[in-house]
Order: sequence, then structure tokens, then C-alpha cells
Amino acid sequence: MDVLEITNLNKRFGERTVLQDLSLRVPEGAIYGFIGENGAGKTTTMKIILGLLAADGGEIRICGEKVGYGQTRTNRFVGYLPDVPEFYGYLTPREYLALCGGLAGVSSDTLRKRADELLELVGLSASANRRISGFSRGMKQRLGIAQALIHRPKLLICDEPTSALDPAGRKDIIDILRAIKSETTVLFSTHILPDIERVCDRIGLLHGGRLALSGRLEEVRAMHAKSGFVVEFAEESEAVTFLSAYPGGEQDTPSKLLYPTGTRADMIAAMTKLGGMQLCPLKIEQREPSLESLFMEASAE
Amino acid sequence: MRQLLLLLRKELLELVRTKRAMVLLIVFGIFGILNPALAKLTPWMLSLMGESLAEQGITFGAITVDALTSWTQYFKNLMMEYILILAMFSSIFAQEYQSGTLVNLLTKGVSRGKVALSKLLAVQLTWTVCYWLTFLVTLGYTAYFWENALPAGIWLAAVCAYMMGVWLLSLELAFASALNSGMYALLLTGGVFALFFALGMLPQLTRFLPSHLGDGLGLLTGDMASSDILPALWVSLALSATQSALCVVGIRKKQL
Repeated sequence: MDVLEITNLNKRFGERTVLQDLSLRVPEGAIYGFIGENGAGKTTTMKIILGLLAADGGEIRICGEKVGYGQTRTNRFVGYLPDVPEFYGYLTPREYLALCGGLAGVSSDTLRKRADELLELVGLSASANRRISGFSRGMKQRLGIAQALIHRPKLLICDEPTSALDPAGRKDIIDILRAIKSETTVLFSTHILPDIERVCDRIGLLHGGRLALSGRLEEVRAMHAKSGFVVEFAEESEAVTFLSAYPGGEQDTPSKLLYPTGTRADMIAAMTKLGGMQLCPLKIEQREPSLESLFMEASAE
Repeated sequence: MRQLLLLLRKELLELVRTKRAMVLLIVFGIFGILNPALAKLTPWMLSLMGESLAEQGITFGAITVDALTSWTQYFKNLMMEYILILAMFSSIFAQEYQSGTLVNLLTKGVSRGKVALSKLLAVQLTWTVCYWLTFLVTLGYTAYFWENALPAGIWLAAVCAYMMGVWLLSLELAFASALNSGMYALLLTGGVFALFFALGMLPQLTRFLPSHLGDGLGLLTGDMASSDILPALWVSLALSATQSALCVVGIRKKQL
């Protein structure tokens, strides 16, 4: 079953078309990476899903129910983490979760237990009774996830949750998303591609107001798979020496050789050659399309 | 109902934790003390200045100070109370719009109308407590110093002055829910008040204008009959209800 179905969604801001017949499906249990350059319309799409912004055309269904602007009953299925979540600084995380849970209709009996569970999950148990005003950005982001999950939503929407964080903070968020995978479906927008590779199983690339690329991550990769292999050395001189002994490649960078048509057998031969020449490369690897190259390719079209 | 109560609790908690409730209670308490105190001190101050004034040829007869002097002071100070309470709440919507704190709540499925309603209730409740605190403190000291602390007409005059605050606050919140700036909401409220005040230049209109609800002192002195002010009271009730409804419309139309 699809938790989220977007069909032919259109949105214009004045003269500028932001979304053009965007269609997208997120199946239950997926962690869906919603990729696109800045200004591609990711946040706009998410705001329309949440009923915070009116669409000019098209339809959105969450768990089969149609989303309308303003009055947002479908939000009971959804947890939302904004890119920079803002809180009432005078409340403590426990009080804030009690407020959010109560508003989302969680019964008072289960609310306290659920809040404790989530504070544990996001690593804020020790700060549960401190005022939020003293929190760092990373802590706020983690509290943002907790508030989004308080009512056990079917769909968690995260708008660039890692963009404003340092590497440690990013890792925390990714780990939390992994941990909740069994509980909820996730739509995760970002332009940080390594984060997508670490956690998502499906991707959709938004470009020019529509999906330029979508599907399971490995399928998308396989569709754009490239042959060949790469050998990278520490020194340029080593690269030049090896290229003359084992031709058929080209210098991708001064110290990196690319054999674009090399097969598996060619790569084994190259490794034997390296051993014979007593050369130790920094790395030798089969070429795999990186998300970055797919991103650049699709964005260039 | 549970959502509304939770939101109202949040608003009241904000007032307490940001110390705004404390500031308001202290200042309105001081207003209450000031009214009878100023009345009580008037003869003493005049006698201090008496000599220098006498040199300029100004002399005083015997000055009698009574409960009415204290209530006169009460009605004179009302304008400060209105300005203070309006300034305190002018940014109640703008700060949420600007910081984006409402997004988390609205995406939980709370209707925007309830958010507006909780703010309206919190503001009017605060005004009610502050206004009647000043009234009761003034009444207490007036009764302590003088006889006849509750002259005829005082209740109607006090309720009218209270309703003027309700009208002004609902007007301000109607602007505030539609705007991103508390300052504009405050200025526009001042603008509308000035407009009503200007309309009051036409004598046949005065008795209908909520901007004149603070002039109830005449009811105490006998210069004014209740029929001179009651129409404005009904108008203020109708306008407050309409403006509160507009406040809900404002937040519904707001793009967040």
C-alpha cells in the first residue's frame, strides 16, 4: 500500500512554476530520499502535503485520504520535522511533548510513557526537565524528531533534517531515522547525498518541477551503471609509469587512472600487473555510479 | 475542547514563565495604589507649592478631598492601562509567525481557529484580572481613607471602562493575526482609536462610540445619565465579537 500518493501536482508562485505535474508514490515502510537542488520545490511539496500551502492543481492522498489546504485532518497520519524546528523556549522537552501529544489526540495515560520512550530514543532523557531555550541546534533537531513521532504517525516527513548540523549531529539524526524504520514510513528531503546513501532505500530526484529520476536506490544505480574501473595512486609519477605499462586507460586526474571499458578480467589483470611492478595504489575499484553523478546528470538535463 | 484547553494553558504558562504576568500584576497593582494616593497627597502637594504660587498671585481656597477625587484619578489613569496592555500583547501572533513555532502545532491537526481562540481568551483573561485588580485596590484604599467609597454609578462606569479594554484588545488581535509585525498591529489599533475619537467630535454620535467608554466619571458626578453611555457599551460588545471573529479569519488566511 502507498502511504503517500501525489498525482499531477502543480504549484506556481506568480510567474514562476515550481511544481509541474509532479507525481510520486511512497510505499509503506520505505525511507524515501527526496532529492533536489536548492529551490527545486522540495519544501513547497512538503508544505502542500501538510496542508500549509494551497496547490494550484493535482491531488495528494495520505493513507488513502485526500489532503485539503488549511483544515488538515490528514495530519493525524503525519509527523513533520521542519528544517529548523522552533520551540517555545520556556517549556521543557517533556512539557513540549505533552503539549504536542495532547494536541495530536494521544491519551493522557499513554502520553507520559511515549514521551519518555522518545526522549530516550533521541538521547534527551538527561535534559528532559531543562528549558528548551538553552538547547543547541542538534538537540533541537532531535527534539524535533521526538515531537514529530509523538502520535506514532504513519508517515514522517523530514525537511532537510541534517543540513544545518555538524557531522556528529548528522550521524545522530541518521541513526535515529534508521532506528524508527520499522515503525513508520519516512519521506526525507535533502541535498546532502551521502546521507541519502546511508539511510534511504528509495529515491526521487526533483528537477524542473517534476521527478527526473525515481525508484529503488539499487535499481536506479543499476540503470545508470557504468563499466570500467579506476586506479588511484599517491603520486602522479606512479600513475604515469603504470599507464605506460598497462595501456588502455586515461588520466582522470594527475594521479588517478580511468579504464572506461575495462572488464572484470581486465581489472584482475591490472591487479596482477600492479603486484608484478611492486606498485601499491591508494585504491582500485569498479566504477559505480555515485548518487552525486546521477544528481549532476539529471540536473544537467 | 482538550486542544483548546491545552493551547490556553500554553499561553498562560508563557505569560508566567516569561515574567510578563508578574510585570503586569505589579504595574496594575501600582496603578491601583496610585489613584487614592495621589488624591490623598493633593492637598499636601498644593500646600508645598502654595507659597510660590501665592507670590504669583494664585491662591487656593480650602481643598476638600474625598472618595470622588480618588475615582477621578482612577478614570484619568485608564489610558495608561490601555496602552500598557495593548503594548504587552501586540506581538502575540507576530512572534509565532516569525519564529515558525506554530508549524509544529498545526501539523498535529490543530485547527487555526483554536490557536486564535486560545490567544483571544488568554489576552482577555489577563486584561480582566489586571483591570479588576486595579479597581479593587483603588476601591480598598478609597474605602480605607474616605467614606462613601462606592458612589452611585461607579459600577456601570467601571464596567464601561473595562469593555473599552476588551474592545481595543480584540481590535488589536484582529490586526495582529493578519500581520507579521506587532508594531503595525499596535499602530493600526491606535489609528482606529483616533478615528473613533475624531468621530466623537460630533455630539450626536458620542453616546454610540466605544472610544468614549472611559469617560464614565460623569455618571458619578451626575453630569451623565446611563442612557448616555449604554449604547456605546452594546456597540463595544458587538464590535468585540466581530473583531474576534476577524482574528480567526486572519489566522486562517495566513500563509505560514
